[in-house]
Amino acid sequence: MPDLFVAQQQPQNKEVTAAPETLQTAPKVSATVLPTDHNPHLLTSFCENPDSVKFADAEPDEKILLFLRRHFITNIPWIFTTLLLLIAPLILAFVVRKFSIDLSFLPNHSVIFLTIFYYLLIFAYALVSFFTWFFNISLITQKRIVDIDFSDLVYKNVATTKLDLVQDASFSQIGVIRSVFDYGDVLIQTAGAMDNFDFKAVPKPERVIQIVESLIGKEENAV
Amino acid sequence: MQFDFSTFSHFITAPFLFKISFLFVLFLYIIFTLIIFNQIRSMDQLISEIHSSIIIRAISLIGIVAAISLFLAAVVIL
Repeated sequence: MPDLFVAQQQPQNKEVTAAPETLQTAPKVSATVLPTDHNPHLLTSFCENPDSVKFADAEPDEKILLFLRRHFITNIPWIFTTLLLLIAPLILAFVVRKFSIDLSFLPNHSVIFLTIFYYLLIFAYALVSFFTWFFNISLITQKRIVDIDFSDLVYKNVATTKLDLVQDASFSQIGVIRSVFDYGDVLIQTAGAMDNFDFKAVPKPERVIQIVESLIGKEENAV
Repeated sequence: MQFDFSTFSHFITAPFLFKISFLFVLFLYIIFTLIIFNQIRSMDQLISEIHSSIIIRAISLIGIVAAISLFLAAVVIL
């Protein structure tokens, strides 16, 4: 009697057998052999395998695999503030002229000097804000992770950890703006009582995690 | 010989006080720009990008030159 219901061959079997192979042969995102070289420019916030970056404590055979800064979009608040401050004297001049405010009590040329000094202060504010972004750098080499914190000219902190001590890496990307511009916070957890590494607002956090996990031998868990 | 305050008080006018205060604040600003330059140099030694280092130093130098120029102009003109 012919069987009416013959179980079809489950394609899952193929997948099950194929899965280990694909895992083994899948192109590992080996961060040690990155395909391209790049030269970061003044506004670069993400660069794989940078050639023109030199780190003071780097060992002779140590190569920087990943160069990170906060995403450039994070500079928008201070750029906006600077622009507002730049046009403030124009508004003030308009108000003075409109209401005929008498400034004759000020010494000769003082308005010009005060205006120039005001613009120098804005220049300094923009400079400090830019350098705070510019020198907040995170590096991943094939041996360790380096995090350089620089803030408001007075705070400087350099933290490093060997890759052997890295236990886990994760990232969070919360909010519409972060999703649109593809940046987020990367948390690298280290063993024992050592401080964790927190890369704030770095571009392509998935790729960062991928590289870190490939370096610490957890490719299969990579996002 | 006694110090004559009445002669000295002729110099202490509003423009004079303004000039002195302005020069003092500008002097502090020059020190601030020098600190910026020094910190940049220090950070640049720690980690340097060959292409950006020159631009960064040039920008901070512009700040110093502008501040010193304004100071000298204030000494002469104000």
